[in-house]
Amino acid sequence: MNALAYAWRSLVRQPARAVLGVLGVAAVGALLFDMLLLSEGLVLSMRDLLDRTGYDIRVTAGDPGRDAGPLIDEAAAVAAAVSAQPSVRSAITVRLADARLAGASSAVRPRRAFLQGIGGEGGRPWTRRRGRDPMGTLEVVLNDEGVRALGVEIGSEVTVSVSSCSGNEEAPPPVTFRVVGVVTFPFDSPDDITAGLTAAGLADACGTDDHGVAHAVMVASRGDAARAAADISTLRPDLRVLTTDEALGAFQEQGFSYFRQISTVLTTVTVSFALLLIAVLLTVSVNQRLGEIAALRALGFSRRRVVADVLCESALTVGIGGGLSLPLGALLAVWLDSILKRMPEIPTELHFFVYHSDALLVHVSLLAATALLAALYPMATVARLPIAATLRNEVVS
Amino acid sequence: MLVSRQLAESERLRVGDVVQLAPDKNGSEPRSFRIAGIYEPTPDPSRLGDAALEVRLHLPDLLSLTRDPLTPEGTEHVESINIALMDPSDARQFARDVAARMPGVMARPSADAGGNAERFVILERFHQAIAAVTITAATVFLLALTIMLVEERRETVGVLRLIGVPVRRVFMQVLVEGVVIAGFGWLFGLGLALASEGLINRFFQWRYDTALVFARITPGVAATCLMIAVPLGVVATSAASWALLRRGSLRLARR
Repeated sequence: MNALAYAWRSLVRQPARAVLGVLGVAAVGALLFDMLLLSEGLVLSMRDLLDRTGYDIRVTAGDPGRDAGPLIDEAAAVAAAVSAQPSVRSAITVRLADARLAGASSAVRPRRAFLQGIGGEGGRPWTRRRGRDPMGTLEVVLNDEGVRALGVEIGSEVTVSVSSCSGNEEAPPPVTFRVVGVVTFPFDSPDDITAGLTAAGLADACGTDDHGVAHAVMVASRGDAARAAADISTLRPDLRVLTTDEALGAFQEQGFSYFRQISTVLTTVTVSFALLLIAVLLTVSVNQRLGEIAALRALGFSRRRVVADVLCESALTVGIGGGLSLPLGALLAVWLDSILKRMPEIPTELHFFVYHSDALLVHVSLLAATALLAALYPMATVARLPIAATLRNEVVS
Repeated sequence: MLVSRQLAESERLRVGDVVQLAPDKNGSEPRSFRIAGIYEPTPDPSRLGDAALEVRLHLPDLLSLTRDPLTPEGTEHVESINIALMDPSDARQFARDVAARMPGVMARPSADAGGNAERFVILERFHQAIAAVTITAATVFLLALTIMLVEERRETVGVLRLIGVPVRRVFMQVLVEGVVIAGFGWLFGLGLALASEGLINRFFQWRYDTALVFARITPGVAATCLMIAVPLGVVATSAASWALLRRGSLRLARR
C-alpha cells in the first residue's frame, strides 16, 4: 500500500474528524478564493465595461473629477482631426447633461435623467437592444429603466427639460423628442434613467446653437492605444489624453483600492488561520497515533515512508477541502457581490468578484504551500520518533 | 488664507509663505495671499482616495478673486450657508420653516447631510458577512479539535467513571473547562485585535493620507465577540464530550 492510500485509510478510520477538517479547509479556502477574486475583480470588471463602449482612448479638456469636467471647444473639429490620424480608427464626441424627462401620460411623474449627446460617425457607446440609434435631431434612445419609469415605448414622445447643461446657465425650455430605441449603457446604476441623443439634439435641449462642444472625445485606436494616444497628444497638447490602461491605473489608485487592500489583509489572515488550524489538527492526530507509527517503524516502515504518510494526510485534507472550496467560493462570491452592489452609484454591470485564471493559480499554490507548511512539525515529530521508547511507553500506559 | 495639511506637504508650503492664486488654470490675474495657518481637513469617508488639496479664504476674498467683471459687487451667489441655531434641537423645524418661506432653497439639518452613509452601512454588512464565514470555519475546526482532545482523554474519563464520579459531574467539569478556555481565547483575541487596531489604522491612514479611523474596538464589539466566542466554545466542548460520556465506563477505560 502506498503512502497516499495509507493516508486515505487513516482519514476514513476517523470519519468525524476527517470530515470536519475537510469542511474547515473548504470554508477557509472559499474565503481565500473570494479574496483573490476581489483583489482584481473591480479592475477587470471596469475594463470590461470600458471595452464595451468600443473606444480605448478618452480625450478631455481637464480632469473630470466628480462632475463632467470642462467642455472642449470645437470638439467636433477635434474629433475630425483625431480621426484623420493613421493610428486612429474612429472618434466621437460625448456631451453630458442632467435633465428631467416626462412621458406623454400625466399620471407618470417626471424623472431625473442623464443625457448623453453623441456626435461623429463612429459607433455609439451603448448596446442597442431594440429599435435604432437616434439620427434626427429630435430622436432619443432610452435605457430599460427609462422606458419602465416613464411608461413609454418606441415611437412614444418624451419631454426633455434640461436642468444642468454646461455652456448655458439659464434653464432652457422643454423640448419634445421621439423614442427610437431601447439600449443598455455600460455604466448605468440600477435606478438610473439615461438617454442617448445626437450632439445636435442635446444642443437643442440645452438651448444653445453650438453643436460642436463636448465634454469628451472618445477614440478607437487601430490596435495600438498608446501610439494613438501619443499622436493625439502631439496633435492637441492642451487636451488630456487617457488610454483605458491609464484610466484603470487611476481607478486603482482612487477609492476602490480599499477593496484590494482589504483583500490582501484578509488573504494573509485566512492563510495564517488555515495554516495554524491544519497544523494543530495534524499534530494532535499524529500525537494520538505515535504508538501505531512506532509499531509500523518496528515492522520495517522506513522513516521516509512514515513522513510521507503524514504529508499525504495533510495533502488529502487540504486537497479535498480545497476542491470543495471552489464551488463554495463561487456561491459565496455571488452572495458577497450582491451585498456590495447595493452601494449607491455602482453600475449594474460592475462586479466586485470576477473569476480570473491567476486567482485560481494563486489559490492552488497557497493551499499547496499551506498543506506542506502545516505538515512540517508533525513530519518532524514522526521523523524523530524513538521507536523502542515509544513502544515501551505505549505498553506501560 | 489657510492651507490643508495635504496641500502644504505636497507643495512644501509653510505658515507665512506668500502664494499667488488665480481664478483659472492659465494663471491669469493672480492675487497674492499669505498663509496664516495649516489645517487638517475634516475626514470625509466619501472622499477616500482623493487628496484634500484645498485652501480656505475669507468669502469676500474668494468672491473678489472669482467675480465676473460684469457682475456687480454684492450680487454674487454662494452654494450653501451654514447656520448655527441657538437651540440645535430646533434644526428640523427650522429647515421646514425655511423650505416653506423660501421655495427653491433647500435646508436640511447637518445630521441628515451624510448622504453617503449608505455606502458605509453596506461595507459594514460586507464585513459582517466575511466575519460570519470566518466564524463558521473556526467553529468547524474547533469542533474537530475538541473531538480529538476529548478522545485523547477517553481513558481518564473512563477511570473517573469507574471510581464512581457521576456522568453529570464529569460533564460539568468539561463544561467549565470549555468556558474557561473560550474565555481565555476571547481575551487573547481581544488583545490581538487591540494590538492590530493601531496597525490597521496607521496603515490605512498612511495609505489614504487621511485622519479617518478604519478599525475601532468598542465595548460593543468586545461584548459581541464574547457572546459569540464563549457559547461556541461551550457548545463545541459539550457536543464532543457528550458523545464520549454516553459510552459505558468499561468501554471508555478500554477494559
